[in-house]
Amino acid sequence: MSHSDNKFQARRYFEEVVNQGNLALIDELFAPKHVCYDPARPEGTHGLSSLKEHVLDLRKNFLDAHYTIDDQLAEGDKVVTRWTFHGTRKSDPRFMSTLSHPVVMAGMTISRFVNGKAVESWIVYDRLMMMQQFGTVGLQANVVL
Amino acid sequence: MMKAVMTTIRQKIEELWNTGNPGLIPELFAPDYIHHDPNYPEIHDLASYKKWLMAMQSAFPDLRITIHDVIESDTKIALRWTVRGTHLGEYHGLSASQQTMMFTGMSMYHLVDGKITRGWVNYDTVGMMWQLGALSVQAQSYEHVIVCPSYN
Repeated sequence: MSHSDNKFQARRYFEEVVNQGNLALIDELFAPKHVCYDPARPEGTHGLSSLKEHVLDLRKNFLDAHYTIDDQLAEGDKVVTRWTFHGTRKSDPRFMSTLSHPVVMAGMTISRFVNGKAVESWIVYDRLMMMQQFGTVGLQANVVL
Repeated sequence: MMKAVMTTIRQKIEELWNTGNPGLIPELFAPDYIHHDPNYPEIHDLASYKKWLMAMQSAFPDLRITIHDVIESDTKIALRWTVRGTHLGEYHGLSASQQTMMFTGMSMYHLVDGKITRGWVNYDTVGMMWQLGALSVQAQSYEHVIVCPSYN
């Protein structure tokens, strides 16, 4: 698999699996033992069923979950994708607010590919801004970021 | 891009963060460098970038970056890293908490003639602010439970 093939595979997760809801494609894009490292889940998300659940949750909880690919680079077996997520969070009684929240969040994903399938991914994203947009956390009033 | 140029960039970024030597900034970055950090206003010049970095160094005098991964192409370089530090000085309105913090992040840089012209960073601000005691939790959501980073 060439760099451009791996870049294409990385792109398809965002554009086809999440944006279009093609969950079946996950089996084609990710190895069965894929592990995703996310600061919100430092123990890692293991396997494809949990990944599918994650995408289902995302699409269920956001009215219009949509990733835009801003930039990519590839070297060896790795692809870096810089992205922006847009979505409107559905109201949820577990949140302080019952209003729907539009959310914009920037992030990056590094994926390592073997034979055209991602075996490991690392993601980092603007979790604070998202949680502030949800109203789930607040910063101390005197902190100016 | 020559492999040697990328190796130098990685080493200089490590040195810049770990020593806080501002003399490295013009060696690494083009004069019209643009820095994108979702948590701060966009930076458009080296003087502002230096000011931002010096504020970090003064708040966390023992700041250390560990680079775990480097991915590079002809004109781009991406880094995955962990930053550690002790909060001994005022940081953006947050008085010194004496707390140690550790958070993970990634940077992507675009290069022209061996110098960085544009950079994007994303890092675990929630983990960082939580460890510094600056976050108040108003509600927990199922998918965004606050946890501190613990992996390398």
